[in-house]
Amino acid sequence: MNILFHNDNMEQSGLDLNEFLIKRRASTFILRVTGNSMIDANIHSGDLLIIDRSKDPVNGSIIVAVVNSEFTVKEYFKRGNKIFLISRNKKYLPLEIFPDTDFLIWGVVTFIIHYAEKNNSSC
Amino acid sequence: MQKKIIALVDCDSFFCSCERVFNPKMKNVPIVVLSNNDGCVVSRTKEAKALGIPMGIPYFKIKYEFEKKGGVAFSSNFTLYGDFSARVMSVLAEFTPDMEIYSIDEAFLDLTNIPTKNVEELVIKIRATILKEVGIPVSIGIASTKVLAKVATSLAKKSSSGVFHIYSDEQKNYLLKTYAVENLWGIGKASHLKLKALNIKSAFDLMNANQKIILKNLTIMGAKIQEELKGIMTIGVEQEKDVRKQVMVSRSFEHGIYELDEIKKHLSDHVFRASEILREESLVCFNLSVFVMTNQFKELPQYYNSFQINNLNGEDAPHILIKKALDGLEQIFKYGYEYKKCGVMLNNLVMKEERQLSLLEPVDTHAEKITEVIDKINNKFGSHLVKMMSCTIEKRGHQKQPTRSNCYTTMWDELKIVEN
Repeated sequence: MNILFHNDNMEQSGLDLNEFLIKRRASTFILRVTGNSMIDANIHSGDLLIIDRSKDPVNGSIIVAVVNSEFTVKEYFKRGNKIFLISRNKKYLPLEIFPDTDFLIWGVVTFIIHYAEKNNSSC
Repeated sequence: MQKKIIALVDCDSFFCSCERVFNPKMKNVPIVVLSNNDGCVVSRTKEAKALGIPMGIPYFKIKYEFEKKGGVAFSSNFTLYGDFSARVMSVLAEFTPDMEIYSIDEAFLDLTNIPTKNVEELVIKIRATILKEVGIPVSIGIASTKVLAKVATSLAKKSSSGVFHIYSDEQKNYLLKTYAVENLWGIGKASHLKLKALNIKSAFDLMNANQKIILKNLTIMGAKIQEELKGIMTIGVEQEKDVRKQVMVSRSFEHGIYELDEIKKHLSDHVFRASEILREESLVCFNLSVFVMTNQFKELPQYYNSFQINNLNGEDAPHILIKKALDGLEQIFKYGYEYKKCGVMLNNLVMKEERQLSLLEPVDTHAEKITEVIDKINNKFGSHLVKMMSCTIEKRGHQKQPTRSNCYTTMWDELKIVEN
């Protein structure tokens, strides 16, 4: 039951990006990212990330995690009981999460927003 | 009549919890949130509570010791808290439409008609959903009435699961015997004193007290609380609360009065009585007005005037109200008139429990700001989710306190930055 559905008329009133980008208001947040550790996943410094906390990650999901009390954006990978946070940048090694690592999954990235033009630094 | 299932969802240290969502370093840190101009503590985490920080204390009194022990203070960020509140409420609304938003961080849910085998499991799920999706921890009490649900919630706060269910009369009686009557919803200071005089100390005592005596001493509200303690729902969910909108006390003088000091005496009495009424009903006020008038029926110069004071901080204290009223009177009193009547009106009343929000100093037109915020949130979420939020919004640009966190969810240039 989704009470946040708010556009049930057939009128063509223009395309609403909110409707497209935000499936669940209550659990959707927007963060800005700096740094290049995910550049090969098309996440550039200055990009906006739309995060949905209601989603659960699967292998390959881009997630926002908190590791040692710091936010980070990485690719999620789980094999068996082992969780890895993978940087999509050849310069960085994967980070293994151990049972005693200070780690939590903050949310799953659903959209990345950046300008098409390379010269525009950030949204 | 089928017993109702009422759940009270109460966010834990709400303002502090909001601050923690984007600031994970604060996870186990003793935090307080301060009222506007960094005045008083309006929210504290359990770690801060463990350090002995009382609610409402002016921060300067504890600053040194608190910060020495690693405590962190945040200036209040109502834009952020209001946004989080709307998120929590919208998640709750998905579980049941029978919901009443009670304050910025509390809501009653009527779960009677929800098809579920195990209401506790459902409530645990509600709690887990809010924590996951919004990042806010809550405690939930379940019982057959609102007053009992409030008791259950206070017990939930102490439990490890964050949930507490009062499910049988036997269990309920046992719990009420050790539950202090002044902690009950709807019992304010004045009621407490009256009950003390009647030797009613525990909620159990109140429940079993003679109904006529309670009705006499605590009025209909006291009788309703009694019924609710017995498990009979008298204060409905989704009903307009039977809350006063105004307290007015005025009286004509026996003979005309010319002197200010004499009028002051009468006015003080009226204000004192008005404040008693407030406390009897666990209300506080934000707005006070006084008036004086001459006798309209005499062939003498006529004068009527009133003075309004808008920026009260959720008051119910007689000495403060009297002082404000007398200040107001001085503004309007004019010599040379034979006065016949004076009075006081207390407006903009809210339940005392919401007072934590009122410890802010409202900016300018308080009520208008509230309406503005409610409208904004309603528009954003497409439904009337926020029925009552007694909060003020800091004027944008109005002195950003250095310790105020960013408006992470409402301002493009204050987003959380992830350094990757």
